[in-house]
Amino acid sequence: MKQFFRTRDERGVALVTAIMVGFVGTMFVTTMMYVSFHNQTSSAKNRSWGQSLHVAESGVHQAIAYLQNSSGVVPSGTQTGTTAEGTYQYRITALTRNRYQVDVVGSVGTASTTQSSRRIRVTMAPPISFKYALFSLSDITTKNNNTVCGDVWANTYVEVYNGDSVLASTDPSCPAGGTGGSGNVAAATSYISMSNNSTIAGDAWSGGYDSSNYGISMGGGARVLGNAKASSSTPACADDPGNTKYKIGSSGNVSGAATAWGTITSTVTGTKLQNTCTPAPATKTIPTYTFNAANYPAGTMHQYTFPADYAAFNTYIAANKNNLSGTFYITGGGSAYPVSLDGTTVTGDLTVIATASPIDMTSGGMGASGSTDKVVVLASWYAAPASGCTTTGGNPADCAVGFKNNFDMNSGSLSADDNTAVLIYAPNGPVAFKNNAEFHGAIFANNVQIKNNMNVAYDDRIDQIVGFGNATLDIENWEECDPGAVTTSSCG
Amino acid sequence: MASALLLVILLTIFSVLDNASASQAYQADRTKSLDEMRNVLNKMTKELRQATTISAASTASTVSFSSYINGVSVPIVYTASGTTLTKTTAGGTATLLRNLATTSLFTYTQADATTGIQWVSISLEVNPARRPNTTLVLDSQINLRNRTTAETSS
Repeated sequence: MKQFFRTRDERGVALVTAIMVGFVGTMFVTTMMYVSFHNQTSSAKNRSWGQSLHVAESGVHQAIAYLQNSSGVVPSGTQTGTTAEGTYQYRITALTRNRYQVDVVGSVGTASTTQSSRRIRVTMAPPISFKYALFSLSDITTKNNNTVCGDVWANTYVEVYNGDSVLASTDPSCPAGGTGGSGNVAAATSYISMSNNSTIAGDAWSGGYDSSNYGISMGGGARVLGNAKASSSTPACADDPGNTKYKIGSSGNVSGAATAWGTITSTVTGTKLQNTCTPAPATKTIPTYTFNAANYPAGTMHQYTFPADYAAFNTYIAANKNNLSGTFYITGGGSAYPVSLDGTTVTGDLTVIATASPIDMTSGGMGASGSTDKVVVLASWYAAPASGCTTTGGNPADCAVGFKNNFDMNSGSLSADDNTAVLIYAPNGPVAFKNNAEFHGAIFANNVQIKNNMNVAYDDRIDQIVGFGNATLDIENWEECDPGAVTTSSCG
Repeated sequence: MASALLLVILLTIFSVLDNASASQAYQADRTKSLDEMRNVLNKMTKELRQATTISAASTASTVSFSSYINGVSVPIVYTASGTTLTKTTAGGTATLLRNLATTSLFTYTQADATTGIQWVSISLEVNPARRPNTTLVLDSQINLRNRTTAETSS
């Protein structure tokens, strides 16, 4: 019996034990290896994922460098490149008006389990430069029933005359879908004068005062629908210790809050804070411009040097006055050689750059026709004092840009759609309009003088114009798309 | 004698197996937590990278911003509250991550040239459910690519 148990009990036990130990050990090692491999793969994949974005961004910078070197001529097809981390492919698509779409795919890794690709899309466009409907380095004066949709900025004073309205872009009287401004008016270092029955739909903010010590002077029936603030450009209002200046009054209504260092005699619906010092807005500079012929389609480029080419320019305008478009770069000249656009009709994008001559339209009108979308840029660096720009009757005289009678780029009412947007730019001289001007766009000038029934609605088609601003192109939009080929059109 | 030896070995094996099992469960939980954290961090960094503006109301536990999604600017809010991280969009609120070790996730850096937040740092800290005294940490810093385009000029 003893023999039996000893024999049965121990025979093969060592083998069973070894097998069990081996099995458990194998399971243990296998599990550890699986977890370890998973972590390793996951970590490698994550590293590739991060690196592939960097590689894709390298492709974007390569594409930007290509555009700089080629002056905007896009390469055909897909381009490739390599960095120390991986490879990239990029495609550049030229869009309208100096905008470019850059699609890039960056790839890192070779093994299928650790390989990563990421796709990004960048839109390059001229920088945003123009956000006001009216902008003046000095003052803005208006007279007789003018309507502005958008914001108004002057580094000195603003006069909103009888019946004038500065409206929010969302006002029913303004073009539908407008997003350019709330109808604010700012006079950074001086006063805002509102004559009888004038309206500012947004905020009114002044930084100085008029001869009657009003920061914001309001006539009978004048209305500020937002807030009114009469501030001082002097820190702590130390220039007026007796609170005799920076007043709001003597009539009119302020729907929002009113704050002034001086007294407030207008009717105020919101909070009324007198003898309260607030800092005036800082003055602003006008966007700069740099000419580069490569920024414009070669087939549309016309260059003239005045006075030598003055006759040739006028001959061209006369021959094409009913169908005017293209880019005109005019150097030289002066007051005796104005760029006259009298009686012209714009049918495509038009850019007129006059480095020394004024731009005039005296009585023949200027308009636009055709169903195509158009952007008109009229820019003059002619220098002249504001005092000589208009006559007593308000007729344009010695201005950088002076338009009289029917500068009308809008076929319907101001609130109607308009396929033409206009930027008027004059950093060294005044801009004057008289009688029935109507357009969508903006005026940026050293000085602005408007008289009789001018309607202007800010249009964001002019906020990014090539050549204006501190760079030719900026990244307007950067977006990572779902992984895919560089040729994929969607960016989901 | 051999039986006793077998018994000892079996006990040892089961003990090791028990420890290995617990360790494996911890490893699996840790790996799962890391995978979830990576996914969330990738999603957040992508959306922040293409954001136009970070709301001034953003705090260490909440970041509110507008970001381009399929070419359209949409508002997004990430909120860390208690031990969960949620994402709120126009479509509603969804829980992205649980077992947060801290709600102080976000730090912000202003740009010198233009006012406003230009960089956002994220530090995700999670305690895995099976080993709450362990903290997993993933960090990332994001440069907002679209912010300057939202700046207005003259």
